[in-house]
Amino acid sequence: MDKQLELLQGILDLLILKAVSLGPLHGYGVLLRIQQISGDRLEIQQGSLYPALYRLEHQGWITSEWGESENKRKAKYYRLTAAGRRRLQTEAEKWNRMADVIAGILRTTPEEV
Amino acid sequence: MTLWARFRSWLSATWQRPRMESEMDAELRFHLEAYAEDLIRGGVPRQEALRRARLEFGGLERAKEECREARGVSFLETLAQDLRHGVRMLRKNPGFTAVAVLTLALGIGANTAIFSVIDAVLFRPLPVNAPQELIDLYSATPGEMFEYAPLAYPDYIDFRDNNKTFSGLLGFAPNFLALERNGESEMISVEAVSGNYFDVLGVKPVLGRTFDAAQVIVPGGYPFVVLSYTTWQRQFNADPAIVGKTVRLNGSLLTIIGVAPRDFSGLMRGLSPGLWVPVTMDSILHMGEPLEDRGSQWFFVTGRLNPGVSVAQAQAEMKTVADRLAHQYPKSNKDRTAALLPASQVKIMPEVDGALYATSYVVIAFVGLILLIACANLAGMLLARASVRRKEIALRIALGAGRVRLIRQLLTESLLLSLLGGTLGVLLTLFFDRAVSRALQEMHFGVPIQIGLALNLDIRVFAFSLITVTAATLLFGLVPAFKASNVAPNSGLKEETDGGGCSRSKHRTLKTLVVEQVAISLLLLRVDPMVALRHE
Repeated sequence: MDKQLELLQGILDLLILKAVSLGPLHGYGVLLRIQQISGDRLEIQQGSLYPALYRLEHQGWITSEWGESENKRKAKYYRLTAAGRRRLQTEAEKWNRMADVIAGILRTTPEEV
Repeated sequence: MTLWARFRSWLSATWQRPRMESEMDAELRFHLEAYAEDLIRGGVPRQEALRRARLEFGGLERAKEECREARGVSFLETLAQDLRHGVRMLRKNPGFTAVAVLTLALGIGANTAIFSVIDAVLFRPLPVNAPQELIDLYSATPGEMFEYAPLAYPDYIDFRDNNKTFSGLLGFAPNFLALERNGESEMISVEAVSGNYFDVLGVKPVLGRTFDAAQVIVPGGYPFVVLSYTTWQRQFNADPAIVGKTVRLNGSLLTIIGVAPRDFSGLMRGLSPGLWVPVTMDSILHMGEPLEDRGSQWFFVTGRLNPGVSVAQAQAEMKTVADRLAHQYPKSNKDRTAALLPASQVKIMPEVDGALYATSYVVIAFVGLILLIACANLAGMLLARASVRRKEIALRIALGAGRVRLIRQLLTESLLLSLLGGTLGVLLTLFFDRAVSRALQEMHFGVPIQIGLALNLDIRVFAFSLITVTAATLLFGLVPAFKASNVAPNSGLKEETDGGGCSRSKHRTLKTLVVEQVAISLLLLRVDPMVALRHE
């Protein structure tokens, strides 16, 4: 478990938006999907997942409604809104730019300075 | 759109609180059970799976709290929680609460009481129609010690009838008359007024009618009076059929035609005339000829400008009239000119007002300092209590309470204290105002001037008390709250004794408070004998 990466705050929001953009999910489903896409390399604090979901819903990026789970149980499903889709796009672009910059810095060799 | 979503989410979270709670419970339960089922499928025994699901989830209550916060319910929730906790703390320490509330009640009460008086004298607009429109007209003699004087009656008539800038120009003069009733006679303060007095002011009577301007022309030709509300209540027992009855004033019979509204007591602050007589009757009652005399100046004049006319325009026109009068009647009017001042800037007379304001500011500063001492005392008490409460606070920090949250809670407690103190203070103000009003009414000077102030607790006094309460809370609560919340949970919990730990910085704060208190007390002590001496 130590090898799994700890999440920076704010990234969790981005990951949730991405996970939900692939199709409606309940909270536990969000957790599973993120772990699945990341190849189990990311550790998500289960306790911080729900506050993040509530926060995103409060901000209007996602909405929720009650539906039936795979095993015929009542579960709350989250889905991306139009505003959430735009948000995901800008946040993803921001993240990519940031990653490029950081990667560029880390690649720097003494000769280049 | 997102703002709308946020508001809706907050609204539903607030109003549908129970539903939201049960939904949140159901959602989290689903999560735990789904996870446990996955574990069971992976070969973990049922009991163990449930336990591990719970364990890995982390603090359930904390997650819920964060969910609630995310939806914006927290503010009201927290406030209600803090209030409940605050009430509990205050009830647990009745001695402390009583002393604190009393201290604050005196501090806040002194301030609201003084404010209610100063407001009545200086700041509250007159109870007439559009008081901000009224412009005072004075006879000005540049170079004299008292530059501004009232007008001579004939001058008033000239100004009134020879201008195009005023829509109405009224006049009044305070006076005394002997009111005879049931064979007894008492002096009563009256105002002799121009016929248009009530009309220009827009004051409507509660009973009967007011003077007819067209009739108030010939001296002695209009023998009617309008009673003040107080006179009607006190001298005439609020007789509903008072209109049409007669009163004997200085031996002459006059008929009561109306009663003025309750809050109207003339234009001069502090004076409350018992009745109004037409100025043309005043000469009869006093048996002189002041209506003809340009030499004696006794008529206070105020008016309303025509729409679109500036004060400067009116000033210019009045000066023309004054110059003509100076030319025409050089004996009396040679050095006189006319001066206009907005009535809202004049409280009693331009010359008197300066002293009035100065006195008011000194008194305000005085009671302000009293409140400051009360707050310093309380801050000291709260600091002392903070060391007693170190353990409680350390425990709360250990349980995950944030510093901001703790400060907020301590401030809520302080706010509760000052609200209680403020309420008591307002009650004290009520008694103070009653006592002052009664004292003023029963006060006898050499002449029977009736001093009356509209001392009542209106929205302005309440607003002032609220501001004072808030200021007091911040003054006495903020520093102790910051200090008290600064506890390391480790050391705070380990302390065996209650209140042993006084950090150096707390000592410094206490010292500062004591120095401040001594300084202010010395100042007040120095001022107090001066005030007392002046009264003797």
